[in-house]
Amino acid sequence: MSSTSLYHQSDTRIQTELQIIEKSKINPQHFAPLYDQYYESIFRYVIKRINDSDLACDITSNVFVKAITNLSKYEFRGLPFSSWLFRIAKSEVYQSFRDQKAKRTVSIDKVTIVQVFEELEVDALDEHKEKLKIALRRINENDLALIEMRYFEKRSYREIGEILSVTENNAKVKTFRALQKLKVLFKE
Amino acid sequence: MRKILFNKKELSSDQIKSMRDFDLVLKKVKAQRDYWSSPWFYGTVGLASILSFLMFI
Repeated sequence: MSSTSLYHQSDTRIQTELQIIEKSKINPQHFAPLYDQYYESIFRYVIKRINDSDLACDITSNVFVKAITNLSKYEFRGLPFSSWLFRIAKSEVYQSFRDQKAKRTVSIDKVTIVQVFEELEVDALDEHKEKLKIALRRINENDLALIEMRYFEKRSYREIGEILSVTENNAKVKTFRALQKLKVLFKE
Repeated sequence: MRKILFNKKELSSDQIKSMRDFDLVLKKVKAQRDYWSSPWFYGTVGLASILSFLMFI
């Protein structure tokens, strides 16, 4: 399943979400359809970064608790509710690293790795996998987060911008710079 | 140090669905709301405020 399959939605769907959100502000039980809809994508976002299914389950649960508790602060900006949930998920995942409950993990599947090697302009050889591992361990966290979302999870720049609270264009520029840094580290 | 995983076996959608527990989420939300609106919370904050004020004068 693509991480972004729930991001691009019709206006009707977005309006339906808004109605659910308004009802959930009064009674949290109305939030159930959004919980069911987004649970899997939030869980996958979390587990790719912490590689512990029990902890990922706890963190995902906390993401929804925080979302419901802070629903009154949610502002509709023409984008799906999922971007707000991903922002909470990002914050919860980093909190788990600060609390030393989890170790930072980067998960790359076999299809993605070929595309990453294309971006790095090298062949998909085993020795290059090792070099990529080293480069991904050395790159700073902000750049890693951008590379992860764009190249490993195939998110749009618009969604990346929403999750990181920057403009779409800024997300594009930052991701390009992050890739350049990865290329330098890869070639060292 | 970061752990880099290639081709890790992913959980299926059904496995992930089986982990959902909306009742637990609602319980946690209720527990948080009860805490913020409890007399114990306001009593502790109020007492701390009064003590801080008394220490200044």
